[in-house]
Amino acid sequence: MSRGIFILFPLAAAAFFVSLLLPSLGALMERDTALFTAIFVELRLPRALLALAYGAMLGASGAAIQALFANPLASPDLTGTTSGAALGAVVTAYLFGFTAPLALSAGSVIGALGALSLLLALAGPRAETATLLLSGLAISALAGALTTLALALAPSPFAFYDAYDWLMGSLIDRSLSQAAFACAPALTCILLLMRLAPALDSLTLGEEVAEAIGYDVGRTRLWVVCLTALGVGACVAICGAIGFVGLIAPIFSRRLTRGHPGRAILPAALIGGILLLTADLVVRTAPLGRTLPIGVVTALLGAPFFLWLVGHMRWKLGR
Amino acid sequence: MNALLAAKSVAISGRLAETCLSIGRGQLVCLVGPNGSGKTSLLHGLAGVGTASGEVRVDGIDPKGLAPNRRQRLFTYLPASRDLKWPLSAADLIALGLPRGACSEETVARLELGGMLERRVDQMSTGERSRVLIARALAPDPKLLLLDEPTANLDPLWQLKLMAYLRELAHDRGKAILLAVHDLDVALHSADRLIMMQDGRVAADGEPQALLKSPHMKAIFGIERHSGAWRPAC
Repeated sequence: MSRGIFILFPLAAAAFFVSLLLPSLGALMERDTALFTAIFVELRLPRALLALAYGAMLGASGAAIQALFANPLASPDLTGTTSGAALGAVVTAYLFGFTAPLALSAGSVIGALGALSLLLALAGPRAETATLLLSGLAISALAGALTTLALALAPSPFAFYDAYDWLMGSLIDRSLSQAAFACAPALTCILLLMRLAPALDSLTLGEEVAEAIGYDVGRTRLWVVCLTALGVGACVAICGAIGFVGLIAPIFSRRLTRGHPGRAILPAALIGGILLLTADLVVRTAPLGRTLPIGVVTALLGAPFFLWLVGHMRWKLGR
Repeated sequence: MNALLAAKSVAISGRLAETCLSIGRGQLVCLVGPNGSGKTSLLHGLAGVGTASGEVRVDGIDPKGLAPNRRQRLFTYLPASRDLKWPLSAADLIALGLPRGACSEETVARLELGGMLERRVDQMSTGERSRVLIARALAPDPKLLLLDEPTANLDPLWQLKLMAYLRELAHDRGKAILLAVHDLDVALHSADRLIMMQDGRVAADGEPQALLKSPHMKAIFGIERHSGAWRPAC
């Protein structure tokens, strides 16, 4: 494994502390310690923790899904997982409200699981790029349409506004207990996904060889799907849908693991965390006079990257 | 015969009828048969791939449930497909899933891969990629090798070199080797024993020269040998 991976740990720690400390609260600390503590503990800490955990979960699950599908274009958002989770959460929110994190998480996980299961059924376990993208697009479109329908049938304008605001993806005004509802499953899922790294690496040689080596490919697939649905679903339930981090992080990560797709899970988690912390810093420091939804920032940065990637792959195939 | 591979009632639903097979230490066995006759299915059954059922013992040990490292010391499997989805270097691919330092220098030297270890497999020709994958199968130094068309994509010189190396591994190192081949001449010149497959079952099993001259050739392949060349049977 490349030494570059070890740089990611201090980088992630630095991004986390910068996110906690910027903009500076030095003056406030001297003037009003109680207010400073409240801002630090109740606003900045959950926000930074959520950015790190959500980004890491997206990165790790993106790497695992890409390894599983043997396709660098697979990611939680492009496979419809995030949209499925968002649909599950919106429907649950109408039933229980946005302040019931456990119910929201459950709804979100069920939505993500449904989307990934549908993808496996539609595209198959070793989907070609076109099949994977088209299936993911179809699932995202279906989940998006159903989410819009749910918005249109919102029980009240307040419910509509809450759901719409949440769908944009945001890390703002989440409490520490809400952060715990996302961070605990995310961390657990990342650690469990890392345990699948040797099996996912062996898939490079093909499913038959991986099975002959002694890995249960079916069980590995089931674990990746369930852990991705659980981790991403839990994060989506708290912060809404955030795209492209799960696509970008594994691609950079594999450069540090000499192309090994399974070993890329840990660095992809760190890169994902750094990316989302950085995107959140952009949101907080952008001189626009108002706060941008973080999902919009990652999409604005990620979509051109995705287009470049598709063009690059097409060029490579046509070479 | 000291059987290194002993398989009992190995089957794959719809593809391979219940098959019993044993291969001795130091034996190179070629598996031949028309397309769809069950060669790959038999290899899958022995390697425990997919929905394979039955009892397999390699050197008296049941590989089922063994950790990957121990399992690869018993046997390795080379699939017919040379398609690799991730662009790893040859060195990384050979060492993939092996204990650190398990990559056999001798194998790399014999397959003349020394100069291309840092090259990415997606930048190699299919033949070069085949040699890398064969090296991957040999690297754990397994007792049994299950190889699906190892000579496919190799040029004639490399086919000869590889078969000579495999014979050496079998006869001098006591490995058991079962390989599926389409080229009957390769089987004729290299194998100690020939197994003919037809419709998902073993149709004939014996000494290559005798089998290739037997009526099985006409019945199974629809070809016969005339003046040293294979021709469609009349």
